[in-house]
Amino acid sequence: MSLLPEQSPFRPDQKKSLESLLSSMDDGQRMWLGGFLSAGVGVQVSGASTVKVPLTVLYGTESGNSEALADRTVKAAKKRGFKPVMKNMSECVPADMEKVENLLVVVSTWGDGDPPESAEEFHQVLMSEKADLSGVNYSVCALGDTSYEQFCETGKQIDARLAELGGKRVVDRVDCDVDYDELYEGWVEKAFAALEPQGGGVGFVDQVVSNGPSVEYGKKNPFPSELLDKVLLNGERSAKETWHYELSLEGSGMNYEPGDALAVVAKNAPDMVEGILGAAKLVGSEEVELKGGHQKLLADALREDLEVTSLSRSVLKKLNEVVGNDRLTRLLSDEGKEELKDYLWGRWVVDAIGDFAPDGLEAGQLVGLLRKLPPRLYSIASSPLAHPDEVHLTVASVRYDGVGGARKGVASTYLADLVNKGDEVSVFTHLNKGFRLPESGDTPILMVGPGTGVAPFRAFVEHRAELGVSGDSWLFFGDQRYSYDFLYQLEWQDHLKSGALSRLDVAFSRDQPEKVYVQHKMLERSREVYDWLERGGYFYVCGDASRMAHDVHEALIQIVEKEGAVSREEAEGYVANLKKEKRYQRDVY
Amino acid sequence: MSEEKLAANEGIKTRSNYLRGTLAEGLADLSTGSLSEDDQQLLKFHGTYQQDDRDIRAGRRANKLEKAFSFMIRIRVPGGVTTPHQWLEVDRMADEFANGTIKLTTRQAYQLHGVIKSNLKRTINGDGYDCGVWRCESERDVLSQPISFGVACGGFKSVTGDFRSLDAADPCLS
Repeated sequence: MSLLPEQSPFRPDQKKSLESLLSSMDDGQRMWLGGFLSAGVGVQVSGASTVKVPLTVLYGTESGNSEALADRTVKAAKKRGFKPVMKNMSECVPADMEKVENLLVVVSTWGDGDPPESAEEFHQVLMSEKADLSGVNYSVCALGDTSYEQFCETGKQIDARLAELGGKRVVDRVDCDVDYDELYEGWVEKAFAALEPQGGGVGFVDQVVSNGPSVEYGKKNPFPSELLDKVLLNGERSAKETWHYELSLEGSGMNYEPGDALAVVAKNAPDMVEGILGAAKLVGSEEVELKGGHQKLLADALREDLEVTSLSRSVLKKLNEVVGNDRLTRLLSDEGKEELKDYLWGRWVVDAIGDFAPDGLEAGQLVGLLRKLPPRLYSIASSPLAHPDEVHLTVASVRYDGVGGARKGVASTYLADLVNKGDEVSVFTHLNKGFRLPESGDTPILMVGPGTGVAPFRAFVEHRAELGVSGDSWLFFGDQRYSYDFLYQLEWQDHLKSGALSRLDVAFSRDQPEKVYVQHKMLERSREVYDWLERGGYFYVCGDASRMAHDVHEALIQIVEKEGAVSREEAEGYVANLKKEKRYQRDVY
Repeated sequence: MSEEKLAANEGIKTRSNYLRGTLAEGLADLSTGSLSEDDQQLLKFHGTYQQDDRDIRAGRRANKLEKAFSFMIRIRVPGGVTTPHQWLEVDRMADEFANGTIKLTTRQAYQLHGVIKSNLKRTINGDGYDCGVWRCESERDVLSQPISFGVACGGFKSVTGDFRSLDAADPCLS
């Protein structure tokens, strides 16, 4: 039971001292102290400066993390006596930054070192056009994922460019991996200290901030959700393995909306743990210390805390620091870039250990190579209105043959193989503001969601059905074979009958000699697709980022070109405008 | 005209706009792999029968899937004579659009199974297949025996040739 409330403006160490001091005092002493302090004697009252320092927190977000951090920064900045304002890169231009005095940038990197979609235009203009940022003090917090080659590339580019344009970097950039909290907190503390007028003294109060309205459970404290049901969605003769999972959110205090995602904190499978122990020639009962200071048995740490599969440049670098191998050094060099790409393909950490540390590793060395096991995000496939206290997922189990043998996805196979009905899975909701149904229920919606991309559209349609809205809806679905891979077919039939879904078009790639995909169906219906857009329709795409999203984007432009009888450039402009108006939304991975 | 009550089928036929029914719409609706009862009846006149995969029937509902519907197509072979080229084309169709097997019936026809609705029109029309004069049975085949006795001429005679010209000549039969 603490004397001081949660929101008291003291650093953890100050809070501790204060509480121990206050609890040791009697009433008389406390009253005296209160009087003494309010006389303002010998105490620097922080935040009393009459002029509040302006601060702009600029963010570029894809899945909501950068936005959440920007929000946290703004809240903390207010407490520190700043006058902060939050800006989304999608809503401003680099020229706006010229008038900014203090700028903090939080931006993530996606795919092959690309900026988040909502920040694309801002980034492109920033990199190519001149701006005079000579009066700007700034610092950048870059978010990324070390399993990608171009780690934090966007953040790096922006950091360099701001300096090029005359900005003054007051705090060095930090490059955060998926587990960004620690680095972020260190960075923002330094940034505040550098930008505020007088030595502040008010520490950064670490609040339990969670995504969404949840109170107790969230990212820092995942909810142990009971698996209510798991159902295989593919028919018996299918070549694929897609599961429908139903999880309980009862008692979690977590809410979500259609379009949001659920983060699943998986565990590594026993064979994954055994494999890496074997390669490192360790037993598993060795005691190790993890970042944050806890002690654990190696096998437990490998199972629950560490990413033991995904091989990245960053892991190889750390491995080379331990083994010092010529070939590895060459792979990590500039000349070895292509070779590195080849090497990383189809390999896990266990393969690299086998190749470069054949005599094994010490427990501490092994743990030092591996990063924290990141939660995996899955687009939610249910509407909370249709399934109160539940959350549903559509997950394809990833299984393939890698260089070293049979390989599999961590979370997808964790759910498929290791979690049974009644078991608990640690989860938390993840807001995705960039993927939402339109405000008005009358607005027509077009949804393109092949394979597991259909998940959020199940949520959309269920939601609209529950709300009883009258707006038209059109789903384009695709997969391999009609008879076995038509995910949720019976539900779509019901929705068509009830009118919750107005139109359904399907494309199954392996049912005929030529490949037929969703974009072909879109093109077949180009007149009607265009009509729906002209009527104010919203266009959504969910699913595979590498090929499908691009093909669908291309088809959309072609449709506008043809039906709008305009040039290619004008069609591209039309589509870009849809994005600006938030009528073209994508959830691609 | 007879006063007898007509079979239920007759009603379907009469209403069907010369055996068209709602086939066009039924074929276009791909939310389901099946056709309406009435359309299924009409399809029989086109030598096609709707079926479903019984072996996997049990789990389908649980998978949130309807039955695994497909169609059987019977291809008439007038006089029972087929060329090697035709055979190879039917074989190709079996692999590309059916379940890979070919059955031969006691009425001298080919039978392909497992054609899904989205491919039905293509297969019935034989688009992209070069099979000469054969097509799906819109009526029963013209049968013949490879060898028959010519009673009058006291010896063996092939009547296949006669049947082929019979088939070609009479529009009612083709």
